[in-house]
Amino acid sequence: MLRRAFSVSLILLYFSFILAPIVLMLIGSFGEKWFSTLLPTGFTLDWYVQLFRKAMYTRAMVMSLWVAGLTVLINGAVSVLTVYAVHVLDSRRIRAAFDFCLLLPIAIPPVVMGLGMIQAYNWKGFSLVGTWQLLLGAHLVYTLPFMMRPLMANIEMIRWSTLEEMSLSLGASLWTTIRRVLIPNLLPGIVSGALMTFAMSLGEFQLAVMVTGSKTQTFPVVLYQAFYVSTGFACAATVLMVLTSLLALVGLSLLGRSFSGEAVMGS
Amino acid sequence: MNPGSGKNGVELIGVGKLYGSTQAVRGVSLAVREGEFLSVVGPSGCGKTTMLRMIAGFIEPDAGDVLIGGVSMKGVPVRGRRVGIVFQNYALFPNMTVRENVAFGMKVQKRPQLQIEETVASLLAMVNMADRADSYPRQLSGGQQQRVALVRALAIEPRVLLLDEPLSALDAKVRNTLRFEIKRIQRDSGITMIYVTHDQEEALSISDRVALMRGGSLEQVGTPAELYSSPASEFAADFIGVNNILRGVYEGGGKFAWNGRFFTVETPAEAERNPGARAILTIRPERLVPAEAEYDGPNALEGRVAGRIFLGPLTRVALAVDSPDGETLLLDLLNAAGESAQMGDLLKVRFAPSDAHLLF
Ligand SMILES: Nc1ncnc2c1ncn2[C@@H]1O[C@H](COP(=O)(O)OP(=O)(O)OP(=O)(O)O)[C@@H](O)[C@H]1O
Ligand SMILES: [Mg+2]
Repeated sequence: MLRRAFSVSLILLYFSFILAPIVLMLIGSFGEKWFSTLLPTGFTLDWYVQLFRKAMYTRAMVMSLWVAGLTVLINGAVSVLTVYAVHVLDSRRIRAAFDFCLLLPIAIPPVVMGLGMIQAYNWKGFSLVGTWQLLLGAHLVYTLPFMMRPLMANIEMIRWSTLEEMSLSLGASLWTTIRRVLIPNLLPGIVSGALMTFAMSLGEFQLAVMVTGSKTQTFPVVLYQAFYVSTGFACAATVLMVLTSLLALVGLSLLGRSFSGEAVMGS
Repeated sequence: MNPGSGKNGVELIGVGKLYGSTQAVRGVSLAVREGEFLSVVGPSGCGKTTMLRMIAGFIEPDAGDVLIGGVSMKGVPVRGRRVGIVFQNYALFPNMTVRENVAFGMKVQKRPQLQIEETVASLLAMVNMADRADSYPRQLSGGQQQRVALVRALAIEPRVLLLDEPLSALDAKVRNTLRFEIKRIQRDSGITMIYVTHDQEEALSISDRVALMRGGSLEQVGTPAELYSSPASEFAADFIGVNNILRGVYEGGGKFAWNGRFFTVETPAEAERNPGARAILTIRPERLVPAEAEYDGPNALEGRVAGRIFLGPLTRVALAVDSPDGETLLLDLLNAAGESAQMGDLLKVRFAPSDAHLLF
């Protein structure tokens, strides 16, 4: 009984720790004033109206979605190919190199990576710093392990090399084998990798603040600035961010499920 | 006619494969007739899988040639060989139902839909899996998965079916039924099968011929009866079944000397060319029979019962023979006799000259 009560309160504590700030933001975004009171006073939709009126914020949101979407697509394609190659080649040395490369982006803090990128791609007369392409590059590297790892676990779990040999022996071409057998069986890995990657890219702040310019700011960067405008406005911007993120993640997992459902039906 | 050159026969000519410094397969020449059931047995690492994979086309031999239907397979990719494969771990496609798995090969061959459906239905019925057609592999037991894997390979009407230890992952009971199911399918369909196993008992029970491998080479190829009763080497005598192996000297004139005893043995004519040579006499445990105490004919041995194992229909007795090396012989007694042999009992046994096999 006591143990049960203890674990229930731990869980409640956990959820309130995560959810309380978000709930407060949600309340704050509808409040007229929030100054030296526990909760805001008055009700207004004005902050949201302002948010969508200011081009800086909508543009930043579009930029965030654009970069996150591209990161998922490019890293997804690169990862499927790489994981396939590493698995099929079945060489211990290549595997060690692969594992090492995946460790790098995790071992190097984003701040260090951002500073390094500024140093490396900022030449006189031609600079990549401030372009969305550089941010995309940074995010590609930063999120790569989170796409590769689930895929690698997935391809090993299904013991792909045997399945491939089986498919070839049944007369299928390599292309048919990849399309009809590999991709459907890799979908769980692709979906979980995509979710992780998208969420990380969308919310990434350190790299974005360092390598983007005024025209290419992403939403987390402008969100940070919003707190200098007013609390209510910042709350509204935060809520928008959380909502977009949730919607995108739910959408991605639904998409993944419908694809794998189709594959399961044998199309 | 060349035995390997039937339309669906397989022939290996001096096939070899080197992995780094390991000669996985060396100079294997073997002809498998169309419609034959050939088992490949041998200890772990002797090259069975490597040989099978060269026939399938997953690896290219670096010496010799593989012929299917009399045609060299050099440069022919896996999918061009029409060779069916069954692996130990079933390797069903997890994203497809049983039906889709079996239909896969015919689908990529673009067979008409109606024909595909009919074939799948009859194949699944053949292995009693018709009612599981819409299950996914993960919902099936190992034995059921292997049944599906078997008919999936048969669905493409392969010229030869290669099986690599298909039953090793299954429990004894399932293994036994499935083994004879495979044999029945082979007999009914007349398909050429090459069946790799490390279970020599399995090989003896279902094969037309057995190929015994050792260290990458073929040690002996023959019918199960030939391998059992006339092993070509000590290795074969030891690997196939249970054997008593007596190391001694061939004295000539059908006399074999062992530990100060002399046995009368049947010898091939050419044995007379080397009297005085070291030789090995092999005797199967069931060929040693109890003798009356007053028996004083040839080939008698006396010893004490030093161990006994109950094997169901018979009892295997370890007999410690009175000899300087303290050798132990195994003999199989049918149960009534086996029960009466108690530990420490003095037992006299004998064997007929034709029941022992002499090797040089
Ligand atoms: N890809 C490989 N790379 C290096 N050596 C290999 C490779 N495949 C097999 N070998 C070696 O070749 C030899 C034969 O291997 P193989 O798998 O053919 O044996 P096997 O008879 O099938 O054994 P088992 O009964 O254990 O399955 C072994 O010594 C093995 O270590
Ligand atoms: Mg093997």
